[in-house]
Amino acid sequence: MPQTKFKKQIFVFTFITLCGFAASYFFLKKKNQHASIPVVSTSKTDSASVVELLTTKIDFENEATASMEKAASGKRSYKLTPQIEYGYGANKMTKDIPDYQSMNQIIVELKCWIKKKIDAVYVLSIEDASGKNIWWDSNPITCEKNETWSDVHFTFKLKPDAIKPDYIIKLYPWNKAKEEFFIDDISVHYNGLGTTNNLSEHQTSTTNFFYDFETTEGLTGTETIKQTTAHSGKMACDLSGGKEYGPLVIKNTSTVSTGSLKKISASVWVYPLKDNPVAVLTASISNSKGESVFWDGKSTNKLFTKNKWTKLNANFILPFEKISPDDKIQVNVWNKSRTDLIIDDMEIVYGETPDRKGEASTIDANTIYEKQFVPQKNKPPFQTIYFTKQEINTSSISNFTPNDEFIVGDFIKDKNNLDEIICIRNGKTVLFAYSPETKQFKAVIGKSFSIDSLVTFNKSMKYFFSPRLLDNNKLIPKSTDVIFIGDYSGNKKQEILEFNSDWRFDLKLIELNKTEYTTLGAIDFNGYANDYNPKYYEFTKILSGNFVTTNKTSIIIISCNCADANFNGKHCNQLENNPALPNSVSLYSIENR
Amino acid sequence: MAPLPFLQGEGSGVRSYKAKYLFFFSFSLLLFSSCNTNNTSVNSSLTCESFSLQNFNPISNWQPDSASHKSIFIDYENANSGFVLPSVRQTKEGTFTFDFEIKNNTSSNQKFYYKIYYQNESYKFPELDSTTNKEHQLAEENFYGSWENTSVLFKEITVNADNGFHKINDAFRINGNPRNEERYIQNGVNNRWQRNPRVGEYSFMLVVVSENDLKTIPDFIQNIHQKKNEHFATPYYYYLFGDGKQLKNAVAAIAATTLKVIAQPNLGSGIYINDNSFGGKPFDKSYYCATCGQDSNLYKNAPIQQFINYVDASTKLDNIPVIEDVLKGNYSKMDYNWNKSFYTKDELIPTIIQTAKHPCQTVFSDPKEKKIVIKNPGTKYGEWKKESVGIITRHGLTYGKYRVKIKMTELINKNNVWNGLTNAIWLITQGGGDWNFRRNCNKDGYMATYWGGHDDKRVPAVDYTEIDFEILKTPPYCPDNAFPPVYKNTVDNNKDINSWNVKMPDEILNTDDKITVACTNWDMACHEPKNFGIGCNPVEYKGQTYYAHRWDEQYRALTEKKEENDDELFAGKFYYFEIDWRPTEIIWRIGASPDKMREVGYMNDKITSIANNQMLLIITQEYHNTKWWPGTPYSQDNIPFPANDIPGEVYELTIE
Repeated sequence: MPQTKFKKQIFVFTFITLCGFAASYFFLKKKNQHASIPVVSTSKTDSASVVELLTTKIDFENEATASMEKAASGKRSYKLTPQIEYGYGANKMTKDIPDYQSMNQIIVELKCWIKKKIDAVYVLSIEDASGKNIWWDSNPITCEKNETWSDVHFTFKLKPDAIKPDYIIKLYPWNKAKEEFFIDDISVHYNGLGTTNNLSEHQTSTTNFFYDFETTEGLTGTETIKQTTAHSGKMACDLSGGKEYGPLVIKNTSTVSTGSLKKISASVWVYPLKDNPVAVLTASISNSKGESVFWDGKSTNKLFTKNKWTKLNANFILPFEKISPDDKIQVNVWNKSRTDLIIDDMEIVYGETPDRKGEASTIDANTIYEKQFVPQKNKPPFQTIYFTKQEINTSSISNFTPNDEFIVGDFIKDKNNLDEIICIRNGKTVLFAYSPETKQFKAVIGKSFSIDSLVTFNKSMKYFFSPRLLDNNKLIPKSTDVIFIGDYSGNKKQEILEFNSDWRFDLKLIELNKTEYTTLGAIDFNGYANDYNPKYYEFTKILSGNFVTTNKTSIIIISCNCADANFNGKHCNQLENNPALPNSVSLYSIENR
Repeated sequence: MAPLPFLQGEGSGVRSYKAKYLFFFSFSLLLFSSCNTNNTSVNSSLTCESFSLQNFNPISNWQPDSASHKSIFIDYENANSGFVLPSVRQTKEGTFTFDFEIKNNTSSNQKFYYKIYYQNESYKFPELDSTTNKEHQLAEENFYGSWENTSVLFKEITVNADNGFHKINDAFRINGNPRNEERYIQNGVNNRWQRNPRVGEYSFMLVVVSENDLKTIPDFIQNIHQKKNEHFATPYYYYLFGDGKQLKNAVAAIAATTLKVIAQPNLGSGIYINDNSFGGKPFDKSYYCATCGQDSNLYKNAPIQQFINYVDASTKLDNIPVIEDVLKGNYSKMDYNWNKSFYTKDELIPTIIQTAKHPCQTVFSDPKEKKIVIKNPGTKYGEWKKESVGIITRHGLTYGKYRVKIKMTELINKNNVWNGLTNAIWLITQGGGDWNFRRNCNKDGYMATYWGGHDDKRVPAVDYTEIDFEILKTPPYCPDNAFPPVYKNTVDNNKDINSWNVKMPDEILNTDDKITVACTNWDMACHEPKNFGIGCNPVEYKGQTYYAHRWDEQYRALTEKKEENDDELFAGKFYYFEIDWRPTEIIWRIGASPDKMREVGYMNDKITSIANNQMLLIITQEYHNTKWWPGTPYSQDNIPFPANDIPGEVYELTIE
């Protein structure tokens, strides 16, 4: 390798590394800047995490008592004056807060505007149904700057005995010195403790269980399980000879639910060996003192046919307000009639699929009906922009995996000026180029290439570090965002693709000018076979470049699934080729916009 | 006695019933005509001591279909004040003429008296209660009449004693409110449309009596307007089973000829827009055209009007922000599952199910092909909506076999994912309050309102009635052991496909390509039926067991469900759906042609209170909140907005 070329490569490598460090620093810095907004959903405390139970917001835009003199957002805010000692109150019945039993703190965020330092506090008051005060706390309203809007937030820790369903939680500003100031955009986060687990921050613990009785794992009282007529496999529970109870499934409430457990769904297959069986699928809950909190059952009611497998489904609605995390839940089959029967394949689902994450939509349905909906800039819902799968031959790059590293750029000086891909795996590099004639990528072997030109990533960083954008605090990517720049729409304008896969495959097309950015839409895909939407894969990597034409930037999506037990989304030790969603490498581009 | 009058029905149940009827008729007429010496049919002669009667022809100016069958199609033109059989466009005078021949068997000229009665035989309670051997308590609800002016009692004729037959000609017509009941008279106007003539088979009874016997016939029989002890007494019972049977010099001749009345509105005659359907406020009329709107021609002659569903404004949907052609595209269960898990709340689109805001925009009447087209409109970004569409008939009827030839939208796609629509063909009360109250519920009363909750008060009578076909993707409630299906919880973990792309339960996947035909009767939770029940209860019909389900004692509707193949019902050129609403039964049928109909639902008055008021037919493609349908595998919130219009076409409506 000629010395100069080697030096250039060292330079490029160093540059990329520096950019990486710079980007990391930048992201960390931005994250720290952003940390003035409390992160409420991920911090861990011992074996539990803080989860957001409910958030309420008030922007005073629809409040008759609001002032139009100033506003942090919209046109209105709340004005405290010498005549108003106790300001706008946000009241909430405790029982209206989902899973209020686990509530342990309330965080209030607001914006305030003062002329001069004030002596005012924000009050949390909890009262019982008769109005008697149970709990009181306050935090000073400390606005950092005069004559501008400042962010303020308070955390109120709650005592367990202050949390009862009929208690009213009141939050309000106390204008102690009777001064003039404004508040706006109040968010109240009612937070609680949830059990931590390996799943995503939003979900509950594992709640689906299936017992085929081939093993006795997770079961108690398994002496009735044996090799016999089975609905699946070879083993089942034989309740012949007057045996009254099948194996028990016992769970602590806290292991199957982070909040209120409102229902249990269960099913079991029953094979009566005699007529008129009365088998009851039961669910019961007992507290730490062994007292019964709940019992219910669903019976076969003598209706199941002899020598035939029939499924019994049940749905038990639980008195969730009476259930504590330490309570034990038991599910089993009670052979009430003591007639000979076999049971198998018991399924139990605890609770319900948790609510979607996030805060409620602020869209007013009436604006939609009146065709007056105006999208708010950079706020959902976004238009959907489709990237369409291009029918090109990707066989030579089909073994790319998201574990590999890639550099994209126009490394080969040729007439087509298309971008090539350098794949780096185990320290080895291979360059792939697209041939417009044969419509396929090919490994370029034995041909020299240079990395003189800036790779696409570098180009993107140039825009990304625009001081003006930073100053104006406009585009604030997350540290895990991947940013691409290209002319995706083919309109001779540079656009940004922002990709994040922390929670879901989230790809957005962004238009950028010198002073601000506009999210043009959320990306979805079409043209793929079967269910092979790149969004659905567990492990993806995107390469962006002018691969097939200089007029439009395309993306190559490397889509894989991962068999690792604790896959973190960053590196996969054991890729899995799921027949329903086979690993693939595909090229997508926007066809019409 | 020669062959006596007979009636024909189509179903075997009807045939069996009619055979009994024939027996009673034969037997009673034999007894009633005990003075007969001539064992002939009414076309021959019936004889009593003082006269003989022959050749009774009840509708002599109407051409027969067969030897004893005549049919007439209801004339919908200018029929807002009620149907008239025949209309002035159907016969010259707008009447049926009838004639008969009478011979005086005495030696002196005599005055005789005659009266014609007609009665709907297809949809009636038997006149004789075989248990009590008295008049059936509900027979007064039967649709029977005589001359339109009920104060015209028996008409007098003088017949010479010349041993010869004399021909008598007269006329009548079948009209609404034939008893001129006050119930249907408001502000001095006899609103005959409030009790329209029923469809189906009509019999005709000519009664001729001597002067002496006439005096013994009670006023409430001579004048059908009058009541006996607050109730109407049916002349058919009186003459065939009651005191009238004992009259010595009287003949009650039932004509061999029957008349079948069929309603088959021309769907190309236009769609009328009712101001009230659009809230009575000013609305956009830009979609009005010659076949849809409010002009006088449409007002007078359109048999159909646009239907606006009742929408509970409190049932908000938080929809995924996805616009997709579920039916034509490749939308899959995996798409559904991803969308269900991976949108945040602030990305959702809050909507209430919509109804048409612009009359005539989504319903069309095609005069050339005599069909009606309805379209759920496609939607786009910023204008998200799920809009129900439909039509409703404008003329109420009580009972009838409502058969619709229709091509409604498919409901599930090639991946068996539901598009969120419910195809509905249903009957609903014509409303109106008192005049249209259903029969009193004598045990605990009815729930007072259609929309109220469990704590609604109970009242003796309401005007709300509804009989439904609702076809959608939802599991059966019965048998009880299989409900509700156990759905696994999903987890929004994109690092594990199996956490969010969960498989549906086997009992759902086993019928993945099927949709459910739900047959419902809204009985407003009347506890009077002998076998009123809650949960799943079997009901037998023609060797088939149906399971009727009611959630609880206050639940206003009883439902039976049958799973059917979506392609068979909705992927072909058309399919037939039929609600056979009878006084004591409701039968739901579907089929590829009228002669290949099969039962999918059956209820009777032992398990549910069957409506006896006047109803209208509705055809809708509507969006439901799936919370109404527990156990449904697809939640309406998680079903995309429609990308394109979703049409349905109604080719024919026959009520007979």
